Amino acid sequence: MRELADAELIRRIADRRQEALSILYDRFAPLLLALTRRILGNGSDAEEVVQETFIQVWAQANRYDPRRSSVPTWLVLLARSRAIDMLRNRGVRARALATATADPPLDASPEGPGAVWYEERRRRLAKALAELPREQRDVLQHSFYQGFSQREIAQSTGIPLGTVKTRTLLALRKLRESLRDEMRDLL
Amino acid sequence: MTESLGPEELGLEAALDVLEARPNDLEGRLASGDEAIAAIRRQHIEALTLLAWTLPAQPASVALREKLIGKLQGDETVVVPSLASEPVTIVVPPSQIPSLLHGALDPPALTPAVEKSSHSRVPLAAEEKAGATRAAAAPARRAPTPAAPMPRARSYAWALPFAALFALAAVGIGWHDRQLDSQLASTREQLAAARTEAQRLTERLGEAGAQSTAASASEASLEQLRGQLAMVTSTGTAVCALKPSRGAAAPAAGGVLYVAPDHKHWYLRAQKLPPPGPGRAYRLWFMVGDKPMPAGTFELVGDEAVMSSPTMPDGTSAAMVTIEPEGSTADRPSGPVALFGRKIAPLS
Repeated sequence: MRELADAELIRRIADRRQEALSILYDRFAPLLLALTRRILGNGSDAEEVVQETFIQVWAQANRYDPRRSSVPTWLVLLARSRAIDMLRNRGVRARALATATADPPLDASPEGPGAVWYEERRRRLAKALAELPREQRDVLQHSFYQGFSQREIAQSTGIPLGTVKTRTLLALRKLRESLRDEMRDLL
Repeated sequence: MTESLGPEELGLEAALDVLEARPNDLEGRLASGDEAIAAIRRQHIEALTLLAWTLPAQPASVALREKLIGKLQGDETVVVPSLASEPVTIVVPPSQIPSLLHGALDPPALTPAVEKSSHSRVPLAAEEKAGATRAAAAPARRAPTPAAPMPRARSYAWALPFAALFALAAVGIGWHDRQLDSQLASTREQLAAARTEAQRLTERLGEAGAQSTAASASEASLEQLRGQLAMVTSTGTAVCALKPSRGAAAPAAGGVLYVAPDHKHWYLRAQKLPPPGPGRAYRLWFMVGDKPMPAGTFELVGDEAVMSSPTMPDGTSAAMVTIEPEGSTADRPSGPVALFGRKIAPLS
């Protein structure tokens, strides 16, 4: 049996095969935990969101459409959306804003070369992100990690809405260009 | 307003729209829009979600996975590997290592953990040797530190940089010493493991030889054991100590990969590994740079595993063991890391 492609795993999950979900979990839970911890700043909340995300995958795998997004992106969007929803519901967004550009969590990644591959990729992506002008990077991070709309970012930072939009659009364009190679396998 | 926007701008707006979606709206927003806009939206979304990969990975708890699977309903079979650590006993062969092994293993002269009585002289020799080595190395390292220009300094402007140099040198020497201590301890452990392994192989060889006379053991298995023994006892052998990842389900697990001087033949012995779980298997990987190369799967006998081969990719510098789907021929690991060795280094 060859290594199952991400999309094939989703298809098997849609066929109610728990082994496929287990493999998907092993493959992506470290990434989703990192993301939800960054958004929520709380380990147990992050685990809860990751649990809910995989349960949603189990329930809605048949709705996954590979033409709309890659599997990693779909999972990231699901987990991010749930985490931000939790932030909104708990009214902790003010705290989240304060930590939006804070240092990332301590590296607790597993040792090992799966981790070596992950770490190499992480370094390349972090470099691409670091190459964005600071003001563009900030609006992206507010948007991605805190789920703020353009208007909310403008209100909370005092920057004109038009400027926020321009920065966001410029940042997204640059990011897309600099990550073209990384995205080759995803598109 | 939007009439003046092209697909590029509309795609960007659509990407931002997806980012603002609530969980229940997400699918709908991903599905909306015409083809051209959807294609651009997807590119931006894929790029943006790559931001998540800039975060340090967080260990995924096996308990969380089991809890998750436990919550699922409606399946007939549950295939979840149990990684819970089981009580294990290490069997240390009681007999002495034959004298022929002492010659091969003594040169590094470090303490085997299981043979204190028969080698009480060796640790002292090792300490003396190590001490002498470090003493010899120390002056060479410290030579630059007197920093002769210091006395000539006539003002703080001159003194401060040299003081900083002294401080840096002192920190550097201290750090280097700690590194040496750490390497020495690590080498000791590996040598102890090699001695124990050599003893085990010798005993097995003896047993197999006895059985061979009763025509119950093949010459091939004898040859294999001889080869493994030669590898473990060779002075040119390199080793890679395999240890569990942080947070691994079996923290007591471990292993040693022995690599022959030709850097082709190798022999792995792993211990205290829990069963990989239904439908899963342990798989060895060699690291060439940062690229994992599959080296085959192995099965446990009890909680131990032995594996060997005459081939190893050029440039292999480290190794690891992961838990993969049974029968997988994937060229990169997808499952959790059970054991990981940072580098292959000479044993002596």
